[in-house]
Amino acid sequence: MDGKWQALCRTINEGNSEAGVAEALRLLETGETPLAVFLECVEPCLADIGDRFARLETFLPELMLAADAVKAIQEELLPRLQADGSEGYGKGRVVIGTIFGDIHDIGKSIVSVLLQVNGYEVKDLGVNVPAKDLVQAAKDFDADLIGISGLMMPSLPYIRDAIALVKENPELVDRFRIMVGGGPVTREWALQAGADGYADNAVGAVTEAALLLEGRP
Amino acid sequence: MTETLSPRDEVLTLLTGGRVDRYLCFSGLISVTQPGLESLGLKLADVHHDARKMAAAAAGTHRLFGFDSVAVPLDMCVEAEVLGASIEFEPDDAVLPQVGEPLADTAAGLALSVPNGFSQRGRIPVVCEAIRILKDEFEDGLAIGAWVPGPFTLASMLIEVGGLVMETRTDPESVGSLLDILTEVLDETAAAYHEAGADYLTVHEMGGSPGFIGPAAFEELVLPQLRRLLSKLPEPRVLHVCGHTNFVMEHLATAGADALSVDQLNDLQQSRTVVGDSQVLLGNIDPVAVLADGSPQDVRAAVSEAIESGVNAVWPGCDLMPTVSSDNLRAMVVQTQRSRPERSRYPGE
Repeated sequence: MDGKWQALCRTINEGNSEAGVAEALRLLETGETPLAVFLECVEPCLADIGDRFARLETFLPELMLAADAVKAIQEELLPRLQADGSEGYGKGRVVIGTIFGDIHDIGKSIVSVLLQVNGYEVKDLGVNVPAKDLVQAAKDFDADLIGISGLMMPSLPYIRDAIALVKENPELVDRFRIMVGGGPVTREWALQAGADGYADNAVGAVTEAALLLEGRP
Repeated sequence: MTETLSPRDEVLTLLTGGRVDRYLCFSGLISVTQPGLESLGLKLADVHHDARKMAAAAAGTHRLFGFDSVAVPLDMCVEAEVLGASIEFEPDDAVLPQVGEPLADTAAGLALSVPNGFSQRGRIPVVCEAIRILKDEFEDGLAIGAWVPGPFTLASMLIEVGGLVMETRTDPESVGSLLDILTEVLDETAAAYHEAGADYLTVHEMGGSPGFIGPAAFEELVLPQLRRLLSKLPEPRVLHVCGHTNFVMEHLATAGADALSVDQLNDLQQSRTVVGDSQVLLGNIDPVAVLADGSPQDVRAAVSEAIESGVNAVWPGCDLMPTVSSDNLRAMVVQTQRSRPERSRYPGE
Protein backbone atom coordinates (compact mmCIF):
# COMPACT_ATOMS: atom_id res chain seq x y z
CA MET A 1 0.00 0.00 0.00
CA ASP A 2 1.26 3.42 -0.96
CA GLY A 3 2.74 5.36 1.95
CA LYS A 4 0.16 8.12 1.72
CA TRP A 5 -2.52 5.69 2.90
CA GLN A 6 -0.63 4.32 5.89
CA ALA A 7 -2.00 6.75 8.45
CA LEU A 8 -5.62 6.09 7.47
CA CYS A 9 -5.07 2.34 7.48
CA ARG A 10 -3.51 2.63 10.93
CA THR A 11 -6.57 4.45 12.30
CA ILE A 12 -8.78 1.69 10.89
CA ASN A 13 -6.59 -0.99 12.44
CA GLU A 14 -6.79 0.83 15.75
CA GLY A 15 -10.55 1.20 15.43
CA ASN A 16 -10.20 4.93 15.92
CA SER A 17 -13.25 6.38 14.16
CA GLU A 18 -12.56 10.00 14.96
CA ALA A 19 -8.98 9.92 13.75
CA GLY A 20 -10.04 7.89 10.72
CA VAL A 21 -12.59 10.45 9.58
CA ALA A 22 -10.11 13.28 10.16
CA GLU A 23 -7.43 11.52 8.14
CA ALA A 24 -9.86 10.66 5.33
CA LEU A 25 -10.91 14.31 5.09
CA ARG A 26 -7.28 15.40 5.13
CA LEU A 27 -6.61 13.07 2.21
CA LEU A 28 -9.49 14.65 0.27
CA GLU A 29 -7.99 18.06 0.90
CA THR A 30 -4.73 16.86 -0.66
CA GLY A 31 -6.63 16.07 -3.85
CA GLU A 32 -7.46 12.39 -3.38
CA THR A 33 -10.93 11.34 -4.54
CA PRO A 34 -13.37 9.55 -2.25
CA LEU A 35 -13.26 6.56 -4.59
CA ALA A 36 -9.49 6.35 -4.34
CA VAL A 37 -9.70 6.51 -0.55
CA PHE A 38 -12.04 3.54 -0.57
CA LEU A 39 -10.48 1.44 -3.28
CA GLU A 40 -6.81 2.08 -2.62
CA CYS A 41 -6.87 2.28 1.16
CA VAL A 42 -10.03 1.25 2.98
CA GLU A 43 -10.70 -1.87 0.95
CA PRO A 44 -7.18 -3.36 1.01
CA CYS A 45 -6.86 -2.37 4.65
CA LEU A 46 -10.08 -4.20 5.53
CA ALA A 47 -9.07 -7.12 3.35
CA ASP A 48 -5.82 -7.37 5.29
CA ILE A 49 -7.69 -7.31 8.60
CA GLY A 50 -10.05 -9.96 7.21
CA ASP A 51 -7.11 -12.13 6.18
CA ARG A 52 -5.54 -11.83 9.61
CA PHE A 53 -8.91 -12.67 11.14
CA ALA A 54 -9.12 -15.79 8.98
CA ARG A 55 -5.61 -16.77 10.11
CA LEU A 56 -6.57 -16.23 13.78
CA GLU A 57 -4.03 -13.43 14.06
CA THR A 58 -6.66 -10.90 14.95
CA PHE A 59 -10.09 -11.36 16.49
CA LEU A 60 -13.61 -10.12 16.51
CA PRO A 61 -13.12 -7.08 18.76
CA GLU A 62 -10.47 -5.66 16.43
CA LEU A 63 -12.56 -6.53 13.41
CA MET A 64 -15.60 -4.80 14.85
CA LEU A 65 -13.72 -1.74 15.97
CA ALA A 66 -12.20 -1.50 12.49
CA ALA A 67 -15.65 -1.90 10.95
CA ASP A 68 -16.94 0.88 13.18
CA ALA A 69 -14.14 3.16 12.00
CA VAL A 70 -14.87 2.29 8.37
CA LYS A 71 -18.56 2.97 8.92
CA ALA A 72 -17.72 6.42 10.24
CA ILE A 73 -15.45 7.10 7.26
CA GLN A 74 -18.07 5.72 4.92
CA GLU A 75 -20.79 7.98 6.34
CA GLU A 76 -18.57 10.96 5.71
CA LEU A 77 -17.38 9.96 2.27
CA LEU A 78 -20.26 8.11 0.61
CA PRO A 79 -22.36 11.24 -0.06
CA ARG A 80 -19.32 12.83 -1.68
CA LEU A 81 -18.73 9.66 -3.67
CA GLN A 82 -22.29 9.60 -5.00
CA ALA A 83 -22.17 13.34 -5.79
CA ASP A 84 -18.88 12.69 -7.51
CA GLY A 85 -20.62 10.21 -9.86
CA SER A 86 -17.49 8.10 -9.77
CA GLU A 87 -17.30 5.19 -12.14
CA GLY A 88 -17.29 1.79 -10.59
CA TYR A 89 -20.41 2.49 -8.59
CA GLY A 90 -23.87 1.13 -9.24
CA LYS A 91 -22.72 -2.48 -9.51
CA GLY A 92 -26.00 -3.79 -8.15
CA ARG A 93 -28.58 -3.55 -5.42
CA VAL A 94 -28.35 -5.77 -2.36
CA VAL A 95 -30.73 -6.43 0.49
CA ILE A 96 -28.95 -7.97 3.45
CA GLY A 97 -29.99 -9.15 6.89
CA THR A 98 -29.39 -11.61 9.70
CA ILE A 99 -32.09 -14.22 9.65
CA PHE A 100 -34.93 -14.58 12.14
CA GLY A 101 -33.99 -15.99 15.51
CA ASP A 102 -30.48 -14.61 15.32
CA ILE A 103 -29.29 -11.29 16.66
CA HIS A 104 -25.69 -11.43 15.45
CA ASP A 105 -24.99 -8.17 13.69
CA ILE A 106 -21.26 -7.99 13.27
CA GLY A 107 -20.36 -10.17 10.33
CA LYS A 108 -23.40 -9.07 8.39
CA SER A 109 -22.56 -5.40 8.99
CA ILE A 110 -19.02 -5.87 7.79
CA VAL A 111 -20.29 -7.51 4.61
CA SER A 112 -22.74 -4.64 4.23
CA VAL A 113 -20.03 -2.02 4.55
CA LEU A 114 -17.65 -3.81 2.21
CA LEU A 115 -20.33 -4.21 -0.42
CA GLN A 116 -21.12 -0.50 -0.22
CA VAL A 117 -17.54 0.61 -0.53
CA ASN A 118 -17.23 -1.71 -3.50
CA GLY A 119 -20.00 0.02 -5.37
CA TYR A 120 -23.19 -1.80 -4.39
CA GLU A 121 -26.29 -0.07 -3.14
CA VAL A 122 -27.13 -1.90 0.07
CA LYS A 123 -30.25 -1.97 2.19
CA ASP A 124 -29.30 -3.45 5.53
CA LEU A 125 -32.35 -4.83 7.33
CA GLY A 126 -30.51 -5.49 10.58
CA VAL A 127 -30.97 -8.66 12.61
CA ASN A 128 -33.73 -11.13 13.44
CA VAL A 129 -35.34 -10.62 10.03
CA PRO A 130 -38.19 -13.01 9.14
CA ALA A 131 -37.83 -14.76 5.78
CA LYS A 132 -40.89 -13.10 4.29
CA ASP A 133 -39.64 -9.65 5.33
CA LEU A 134 -36.32 -10.27 3.59
CA VAL A 135 -38.07 -11.19 0.39
CA GLN A 136 -40.55 -8.32 0.63
CA ALA A 137 -37.71 -5.85 1.20
CA ALA A 138 -35.89 -7.26 -1.83
CA LYS A 139 -39.00 -6.61 -3.93
CA ASP A 140 -39.47 -3.10 -2.52
CA PHE A 141 -35.79 -2.21 -2.98
CA ASP A 142 -35.73 -3.82 -6.42
CA ALA A 143 -32.68 -5.78 -5.32
CA ASP A 144 -30.51 -7.94 -7.51
CA LEU A 145 -29.07 -9.91 -4.64
CA ILE A 146 -30.29 -11.03 -1.22
CA GLY A 147 -27.60 -11.61 1.39
CA ILE A 148 -28.56 -13.73 4.38
CA SER A 149 -26.44 -14.19 7.47
CA GLY A 150 -27.00 -16.83 10.12
CA LEU A 151 -24.75 -17.63 13.07
CA MET A 152 -27.16 -19.63 15.18
CA MET A 153 -27.69 -23.25 14.29
CA PRO A 154 -31.37 -23.19 15.26
CA SER A 155 -31.96 -20.36 12.80
CA LEU A 156 -30.68 -22.23 9.78
CA PRO A 157 -34.14 -23.58 8.88
CA TYR A 158 -35.29 -19.99 8.44
CA ILE A 159 -32.58 -19.41 5.86
CA ARG A 160 -33.98 -22.38 4.00
CA ASP A 161 -37.42 -20.80 4.26
CA ALA A 162 -36.19 -17.53 2.78
CA ILE A 163 -34.48 -19.33 -0.07
CA ALA A 164 -37.61 -21.37 -0.73
CA LEU A 165 -39.75 -18.22 -0.87
CA VAL A 166 -37.65 -17.07 -3.81
CA LYS A 167 -36.74 -20.29 -5.54
CA GLU A 168 -40.22 -21.78 -5.40
CA ASN A 169 -41.85 -18.64 -6.74
CA PRO A 170 -41.72 -18.50 -10.56
CA GLU A 171 -41.94 -14.72 -10.47
CA LEU A 172 -38.94 -14.35 -8.20
CA VAL A 173 -36.65 -17.23 -9.03
CA ASP A 174 -34.89 -15.37 -11.85
CA ARG A 175 -35.21 -11.96 -10.24
CA PHE A 176 -33.04 -12.39 -7.14
CA ARG A 177 -29.76 -14.14 -6.55
CA ILE A 178 -29.23 -15.35 -2.98
CA MET A 179 -25.95 -15.44 -1.10
CA VAL A 180 -25.64 -16.86 2.42
CA GLY A 181 -22.97 -17.00 5.08
CA GLY A 182 -22.30 -17.23 8.79
CA GLY A 183 -20.54 -19.47 11.29
CA PRO A 184 -22.44 -22.75 10.92
CA VAL A 185 -23.14 -22.32 7.19
CA THR A 186 -20.96 -24.20 4.72
CA ARG A 187 -20.88 -23.93 0.94
CA GLU A 188 -22.29 -27.43 0.69
CA TRP A 189 -25.13 -26.58 3.03
CA ALA A 190 -25.82 -23.32 1.20
CA LEU A 191 -25.98 -24.89 -2.23
CA GLN A 192 -27.99 -27.83 -0.98
CA ALA A 193 -30.44 -25.38 0.58
CA GLY A 194 -30.84 -23.72 -2.81
CA ALA A 195 -28.70 -20.59 -2.41
CA ASP A 196 -26.82 -19.33 -5.45
CA GLY A 197 -23.71 -18.38 -3.56
CA TYR A 198 -21.86 -18.58 -0.27
CA ALA A 199 -19.09 -16.74 1.46
CA ASP A 200 -17.31 -17.46 4.71
CA ASN A 201 -15.92 -13.96 5.15
CA ALA A 202 -16.68 -10.40 4.15
CA VAL A 203 -14.03 -10.13 1.47
CA GLY A 204 -15.26 -13.40 -0.01
CA ALA A 205 -18.80 -12.03 0.04
CA VAL A 206 -17.78 -9.14 -2.22
CA THR A 207 -16.10 -11.53 -4.65
CA GLU A 208 -19.11 -13.83 -4.59
CA ALA A 209 -21.53 -10.94 -5.16
CA ALA A 210 -19.57 -9.88 -8.24
CA LEU A 211 -19.66 -13.42 -9.61
CA LEU A 212 -23.37 -13.83 -8.94
CA LEU A 213 -24.29 -10.55 -10.60
CA GLU A 214 -21.90 -10.91 -13.52
CA GLY A 215 -23.68 -10.33 -16.80
CA ARG A 216 -26.88 -9.15 -15.20
CA PRO A 217 -28.35 -5.96 -16.63
CA MET B 1 -13.00 -54.18 35.73
CA THR B 2 -16.06 -52.26 34.64
CA GLU B 3 -18.52 -55.03 33.80
CA THR B 4 -20.57 -54.23 36.86
CA LEU B 5 -20.64 -50.49 36.38
CA SER B 6 -23.97 -48.96 35.45
CA PRO B 7 -23.98 -46.42 32.61
CA ARG B 8 -24.19 -43.74 35.31
CA ASP B 9 -21.11 -45.03 37.04
CA GLU B 10 -19.32 -45.38 33.74
CA VAL B 11 -19.95 -41.73 32.92
CA LEU B 12 -18.91 -40.53 36.37
CA THR B 13 -15.86 -42.79 36.37
CA LEU B 14 -14.85 -41.48 32.97
CA LEU B 15 -15.36 -37.84 33.89
CA THR B 16 -13.14 -38.19 36.93
CA GLY B 17 -10.36 -39.82 34.96
CA GLY B 18 -11.08 -43.44 35.75
CA ARG B 19 -11.13 -46.33 33.36
CA VAL B 20 -14.11 -47.67 31.49
CA ASP B 21 -13.80 -50.40 28.95
CA ARG B 22 -15.87 -48.87 26.21
CA TYR B 23 -16.27 -45.53 24.56
CA LEU B 24 -19.30 -43.65 25.79
CA CYS B 25 -21.48 -41.40 23.67
CA PHE B 26 -23.36 -38.60 25.39
CA SER B 27 -23.69 -34.86 25.80
CA GLY B 28 -23.87 -32.59 28.80
CA LEU B 29 -25.12 -29.77 26.56
CA ILE B 30 -28.52 -29.22 24.97
CA SER B 31 -29.54 -32.47 23.34
CA VAL B 32 -33.25 -32.31 22.73
CA THR B 33 -34.33 -33.65 19.35
CA GLN B 34 -37.37 -33.37 17.16
CA PRO B 35 -37.64 -37.16 16.78
CA GLY B 36 -37.53 -37.48 20.56
CA LEU B 37 -40.22 -34.84 20.96
CA GLU B 38 -42.41 -36.44 18.31
CA SER B 39 -42.16 -39.81 20.01
CA LEU B 40 -43.65 -38.13 23.09
CA GLY B 41 -46.25 -36.12 21.19
CA LEU B 42 -44.56 -32.90 22.30
CA LYS B 43 -43.49 -29.69 20.61
CA LEU B 44 -40.25 -28.00 21.57
CA ALA B 45 -42.17 -25.05 22.97
CA ASP B 46 -43.91 -27.39 25.43
CA VAL B 47 -40.82 -28.43 27.31
CA HIS B 48 -39.36 -25.25 28.79
CA HIS B 49 -41.94 -24.52 31.48
CA ASP B 50 -43.04 -28.00 32.46
CA ALA B 51 -40.59 -30.10 34.46
CA ARG B 52 -42.16 -33.42 33.52
CA LYS B 53 -42.07 -32.61 29.80
CA MET B 54 -38.57 -31.21 30.07
CA ALA B 55 -37.39 -34.41 31.74
CA ALA B 56 -39.16 -36.59 29.19
CA ALA B 57 -37.72 -34.63 26.26
CA ALA B 58 -34.21 -34.78 27.70
CA ALA B 59 -34.54 -38.51 28.26
CA GLY B 60 -35.76 -38.99 24.69
CA THR B 61 -32.23 -38.73 23.33
CA HIS B 62 -31.23 -41.61 25.61
CA ARG B 63 -34.31 -43.72 24.97
CA LEU B 64 -34.40 -43.38 21.20
CA PHE B 65 -30.72 -43.31 20.38
CA GLY B 66 -28.87 -44.72 23.37
CA PHE B 67 -27.00 -41.65 24.65
CA ASP B 68 -25.26 -42.68 27.86
CA SER B 69 -26.52 -39.71 29.86
CA VAL B 70 -29.23 -37.07 29.82
CA ALA B 71 -28.85 -33.36 30.47
CA VAL B 72 -30.99 -30.33 31.24
CA PRO B 73 -31.93 -27.52 30.76
CA LEU B 74 -32.97 -27.53 27.12
CA ASP B 75 -32.25 -23.90 26.30
CA MET B 76 -29.65 -21.21 26.95
CA CYS B 77 -31.86 -18.56 28.46
CA VAL B 78 -32.72 -19.75 31.99
CA GLU B 79 -30.41 -17.41 33.91
CA ALA B 80 -30.77 -14.48 31.48
CA GLU B 81 -34.52 -14.62 31.96
CA VAL B 82 -34.19 -14.34 35.75
CA LEU B 83 -31.91 -11.35 35.25
CA GLY B 84 -34.62 -9.56 33.29
CA ALA B 85 -33.97 -10.44 29.66
CA SER B 86 -37.06 -10.94 27.51
CA ILE B 87 -37.12 -14.42 26.06
CA GLU B 88 -38.81 -15.35 22.81
CA PHE B 89 -40.36 -18.79 22.98
CA GLU B 90 -41.39 -19.80 19.49
CA PRO B 91 -44.73 -21.56 19.83
CA ASP B 92 -44.79 -23.58 16.63
CA ASP B 93 -41.27 -24.12 15.45
CA ALA B 94 -38.39 -26.38 16.34
CA VAL B 95 -36.38 -23.39 17.46
CA LEU B 96 -34.71 -23.01 20.82
CA PRO B 97 -35.77 -19.99 22.88
CA GLN B 98 -33.80 -16.85 22.14
CA VAL B 99 -33.15 -13.64 24.00
CA GLY B 100 -35.10 -10.78 22.42
CA GLU B 101 -33.85 -7.24 22.83
CA PRO B 102 -30.65 -6.99 24.89
CA LEU B 103 -30.92 -5.16 28.20
CA ALA B 104 -28.08 -2.77 27.37
CA ASP B 105 -25.61 -1.86 24.66
CA THR B 106 -22.57 -2.22 26.88
CA ALA B 107 -21.52 -3.78 30.17
CA ALA B 108 -20.84 -0.30 31.50
CA GLY B 109 -24.39 0.69 30.64
CA LEU B 110 -26.07 -2.30 32.25
CA ALA B 111 -27.74 -1.57 35.57
CA LEU B 112 -27.96 -5.18 36.64
CA SER B 113 -30.13 -6.13 39.54
CA VAL B 114 -29.68 -9.65 40.84
CA PRO B 115 -32.84 -10.70 42.65
CA ASN B 116 -32.60 -12.25 46.07
CA GLY B 117 -33.09 -15.98 46.09
CA PHE B 118 -31.88 -16.14 42.50
CA SER B 119 -32.06 -19.91 42.22
CA GLN B 120 -35.68 -19.92 43.36
CA ARG B 121 -36.77 -17.71 40.49
CA GLY B 122 -37.83 -18.07 36.88
CA ARG B 123 -37.44 -21.50 35.42
CA ILE B 124 -34.54 -22.60 37.63
CA PRO B 125 -36.96 -24.50 39.92
CA VAL B 126 -38.46 -26.14 36.81
CA VAL B 127 -35.03 -27.37 35.77
CA CYS B 128 -34.39 -28.58 39.34
CA GLU B 129 -37.68 -30.45 39.33
CA ALA B 130 -36.81 -32.01 35.96
CA ILE B 131 -33.53 -33.22 37.49
CA ARG B 132 -35.43 -34.77 40.41
CA ILE B 133 -37.86 -36.47 38.03
CA LEU B 134 -34.99 -37.88 36.01
CA LYS B 135 -33.25 -39.08 39.18
CA ASP B 136 -36.43 -40.81 40.31
CA GLU B 137 -36.94 -42.37 36.92
CA PHE B 138 -33.45 -43.65 36.32
CA GLU B 139 -32.43 -44.01 39.96
CA ASP B 140 -28.74 -44.64 39.81
CA GLY B 141 -28.77 -46.22 36.37
CA LEU B 142 -28.12 -43.16 34.24
CA ALA B 143 -26.03 -40.07 34.87
CA ILE B 144 -28.06 -36.88 34.97
CA GLY B 145 -26.13 -33.85 33.78
CA ALA B 146 -26.99 -30.21 34.24
CA TRP B 147 -25.28 -27.23 32.70
CA VAL B 148 -24.99 -23.51 33.03
CA PRO B 149 -23.68 -21.04 30.46
CA GLY B 150 -20.25 -19.57 31.02
CA PRO B 151 -20.14 -16.06 32.48
CA PHE B 152 -19.27 -14.38 29.19
CA THR B 153 -21.97 -16.34 27.38
CA LEU B 154 -24.50 -15.15 29.93
CA ALA B 155 -23.22 -11.60 29.52
CA SER B 156 -23.70 -11.88 25.76
CA MET B 157 -27.37 -12.65 26.35
CA LEU B 158 -27.85 -9.50 28.41
CA ILE B 159 -25.82 -7.05 26.35
CA GLU B 160 -25.76 -6.29 22.64
CA VAL B 161 -23.08 -8.71 21.48
CA GLY B 162 -21.17 -6.24 19.36
CA GLY B 163 -20.97 -3.75 22.19
CA LEU B 164 -19.78 -6.38 24.64
CA VAL B 165 -17.16 -7.74 22.27
CA MET B 166 -15.73 -4.29 21.54
CA GLU B 167 -15.80 -3.46 25.23
CA THR B 168 -13.33 -6.29 25.91
CA ARG B 169 -10.83 -3.90 24.29
CA THR B 170 -12.21 -0.48 25.15
CA ASP B 171 -13.45 -1.04 28.71
CA PRO B 172 -12.29 -4.40 30.06
CA GLU B 173 -12.82 -3.23 33.66
CA SER B 174 -16.56 -2.92 33.13
CA VAL B 175 -16.70 -6.31 31.44
CA GLY B 176 -14.73 -7.86 34.29
CA SER B 177 -16.99 -6.33 36.93
CA LEU B 178 -20.08 -7.70 35.20
CA LEU B 179 -18.52 -11.15 34.83
CA ASP B 180 -17.74 -11.12 38.55
CA ILE B 181 -21.44 -10.79 39.31
CA LEU B 182 -22.52 -13.31 36.71
CA THR B 183 -20.10 -15.91 38.01
CA GLU B 184 -21.80 -15.69 41.40
CA VAL B 185 -25.20 -16.08 39.76
CA LEU B 186 -24.06 -19.12 37.83
CA ASP B 187 -22.53 -20.67 40.92
CA GLU B 188 -25.84 -20.31 42.71
CA THR B 189 -27.71 -21.84 39.78
CA ALA B 190 -25.30 -24.75 39.48
CA ALA B 191 -25.51 -25.35 43.23
CA ALA B 192 -29.29 -25.63 42.92
CA TYR B 193 -28.93 -28.16 40.12
CA HIS B 194 -26.46 -30.15 42.19
CA GLU B 195 -28.74 -30.00 45.19
CA ALA B 196 -31.58 -31.31 43.02
CA GLY B 197 -29.47 -34.34 42.18
CA ALA B 198 -27.41 -33.56 39.08
CA ASP B 199 -24.58 -36.06 38.86
CA TYR B 200 -22.25 -33.79 36.96
CA LEU B 201 -22.21 -30.16 35.91
CA THR B 202 -21.08 -28.61 32.65
CA VAL B 203 -20.07 -25.00 32.12
CA HIS B 204 -20.95 -24.12 28.55
CA GLU B 205 -18.80 -21.17 27.47
CA MET B 206 -19.93 -20.42 23.97
CA GLY B 207 -19.69 -16.64 23.63
CA GLY B 208 -16.40 -16.23 25.44
CA SER B 209 -14.47 -18.46 23.07
CA PRO B 210 -10.84 -17.39 22.62
CA GLY B 211 -11.40 -17.82 18.89
CA PHE B 212 -14.08 -15.17 19.16
CA ILE B 213 -12.73 -12.52 21.51
CA GLY B 214 -9.06 -13.47 21.12
CA PRO B 215 -6.80 -15.48 23.41
CA ALA B 216 -5.53 -12.44 25.31
CA ALA B 217 -9.03 -11.27 26.28
CA PHE B 218 -9.99 -14.85 27.06
CA GLU B 219 -7.05 -15.19 29.44
CA GLU B 220 -7.60 -11.79 31.00
CA LEU B 221 -11.38 -11.74 31.34
CA VAL B 222 -12.95 -15.15 30.85
CA LEU B 223 -10.48 -17.70 32.15
CA PRO B 224 -10.27 -16.24 35.68
CA GLN B 225 -14.06 -16.39 35.94
CA LEU B 226 -14.16 -19.95 34.65
CA ARG B 227 -11.52 -20.91 37.22
CA ARG B 228 -13.52 -19.21 39.96
CA LEU B 229 -16.77 -20.85 38.92
CA LEU B 230 -15.29 -24.31 38.46
CA SER B 231 -13.52 -24.12 41.81
CA LYS B 232 -16.90 -23.72 43.49
CA LEU B 233 -18.64 -26.56 41.71
CA PRO B 234 -18.68 -30.11 43.04
CA GLU B 235 -16.94 -32.82 41.03
CA PRO B 236 -17.22 -33.91 38.34
CA ARG B 237 -17.20 -30.73 36.32
CA VAL B 238 -17.01 -30.44 32.56
CA LEU B 239 -15.84 -27.29 30.83
CA HIS B 240 -17.02 -26.82 27.26
CA VAL B 241 -15.57 -23.98 25.23
CA CYS B 242 -16.71 -23.36 21.67
CA GLY B 243 -14.73 -22.28 18.65
CA HIS B 244 -10.99 -22.26 18.12
CA THR B 245 -9.47 -23.33 21.42
CA ASN B 246 -6.12 -24.86 20.54
CA PHE B 247 -4.15 -21.80 21.55
CA VAL B 248 -5.51 -21.95 25.11
CA MET B 249 -5.66 -25.71 25.75
CA GLU B 250 -2.89 -25.48 28.32
CA HIS B 251 -4.96 -22.94 30.26
CA LEU B 252 -8.16 -24.93 29.89
CA ALA B 253 -6.42 -27.99 31.27
CA THR B 254 -5.65 -26.09 34.47
CA ALA B 255 -8.98 -24.28 34.76
CA GLY B 256 -10.27 -26.70 37.34
CA ALA B 257 -12.52 -28.90 35.24
CA ASP B 258 -12.38 -32.67 35.46
CA ALA B 259 -13.13 -33.00 31.76
CA LEU B 260 -12.81 -30.67 28.78
CA SER B 261 -15.21 -30.55 25.87
CA VAL B 262 -14.17 -28.88 22.63
CA ASP B 263 -15.95 -28.25 19.38
CA GLN B 264 -15.19 -29.30 15.84
CA LEU B 265 -12.79 -26.43 15.22
CA ASN B 266 -10.40 -27.89 17.75
CA ASP B 267 -7.47 -29.92 16.43
CA LEU B 268 -7.82 -32.85 18.81
CA GLN B 269 -4.48 -34.44 18.12
CA GLN B 270 -2.73 -31.19 18.87
CA SER B 271 -4.84 -30.77 21.99
CA ARG B 272 -4.03 -34.26 23.21
CA THR B 273 -0.35 -33.54 22.77
CA VAL B 274 -0.68 -30.35 24.81
CA VAL B 275 -2.86 -31.64 27.65
CA GLY B 276 -1.36 -35.12 27.90
CA ASP B 277 -3.10 -38.45 28.42
CA SER B 278 -4.34 -37.66 31.91
CA GLN B 279 -6.79 -34.99 30.75
CA VAL B 280 -10.29 -36.24 29.94
CA LEU B 281 -11.24 -34.87 26.52
CA LEU B 282 -14.76 -34.98 25.11
CA GLY B 283 -15.82 -34.12 21.62
CA ASN B 284 -16.19 -33.07 18.94
CA ILE B 285 -18.75 -34.17 16.36
CA ASP B 286 -19.93 -31.19 14.32
CA PRO B 287 -23.60 -30.73 15.21
CA VAL B 288 -24.45 -28.93 11.97
CA ALA B 289 -22.31 -30.06 9.05
CA VAL B 290 -22.08 -33.66 10.26
CA LEU B 291 -24.97 -34.48 12.59
CA ALA B 292 -27.68 -32.29 11.08
CA ASP B 293 -26.64 -32.09 7.46
CA GLY B 294 -24.30 -35.03 6.94
CA SER B 295 -25.08 -38.65 6.16
CA PRO B 296 -24.73 -41.58 8.56
CA GLN B 297 -21.51 -42.36 6.71
CA ASP B 298 -20.22 -38.85 7.50
CA VAL B 299 -21.17 -39.37 11.13
CA ARG B 300 -19.37 -42.70 11.35
CA ALA B 301 -16.25 -41.17 9.81
CA ALA B 302 -16.36 -38.22 12.22
CA VAL B 303 -16.77 -40.50 15.24
CA SER B 304 -13.85 -42.67 14.16
CA GLU B 305 -11.70 -39.61 13.57
CA ALA B 306 -12.54 -38.12 16.96
CA ILE B 307 -11.67 -41.37 18.69
CA GLU B 308 -8.48 -41.78 16.69
CA SER B 309 -7.56 -38.21 17.55
CA GLY B 310 -7.83 -38.83 21.24
CA VAL B 311 -11.24 -38.19 22.78
CA ASN B 312 -12.16 -40.23 25.84
CA ALA B 313 -15.83 -40.08 24.96
CA VAL B 314 -17.76 -39.07 21.88
CA TRP B 315 -19.90 -36.00 22.37
CA PRO B 316 -21.28 -33.35 20.04
CA GLY B 317 -19.16 -30.26 19.43
CA CYS B 318 -21.98 -28.07 20.73
CA ASP B 319 -25.74 -28.18 21.33
CA LEU B 320 -27.58 -30.54 19.05
CA MET B 321 -29.83 -28.99 16.45
CA PRO B 322 -33.32 -30.17 17.33
CA THR B 323 -33.85 -31.10 13.69
CA VAL B 324 -30.98 -33.60 13.72
CA SER B 325 -31.92 -36.82 11.96
CA SER B 326 -32.58 -40.06 13.81
CA ASP B 327 -30.35 -41.99 11.42
CA ASN B 328 -27.40 -39.78 12.20
CA LEU B 329 -27.79 -39.97 15.96
CA ARG B 330 -28.12 -43.74 15.75
CA ALA B 331 -24.99 -43.84 13.59
CA MET B 332 -23.16 -41.73 16.17
CA VAL B 333 -24.00 -44.08 19.01
CA VAL B 334 -23.49 -47.31 17.06
CA GLN B 335 -20.14 -46.22 15.67
CA THR B 336 -19.04 -45.25 19.17
CA GLN B 337 -20.15 -48.60 20.54
CA ARG B 338 -18.26 -50.43 17.80
CA SER B 339 -15.05 -48.69 18.76
CA ARG B 340 -12.97 -50.27 21.46
CA PRO B 341 -10.22 -48.53 23.34
CA GLU B 342 -7.03 -49.99 21.89
CA ARG B 343 -4.53 -47.97 23.77
CA SER B 344 -4.42 -46.26 27.05
CA ARG B 345 -6.32 -43.02 27.30
CA TYR B 346 -6.57 -43.19 31.02
CA PRO B 347 -4.59 -41.63 33.80
CA GLY B 348 -1.94 -43.72 35.42
CA GLU B 349 -1.61 -46.26 32.61
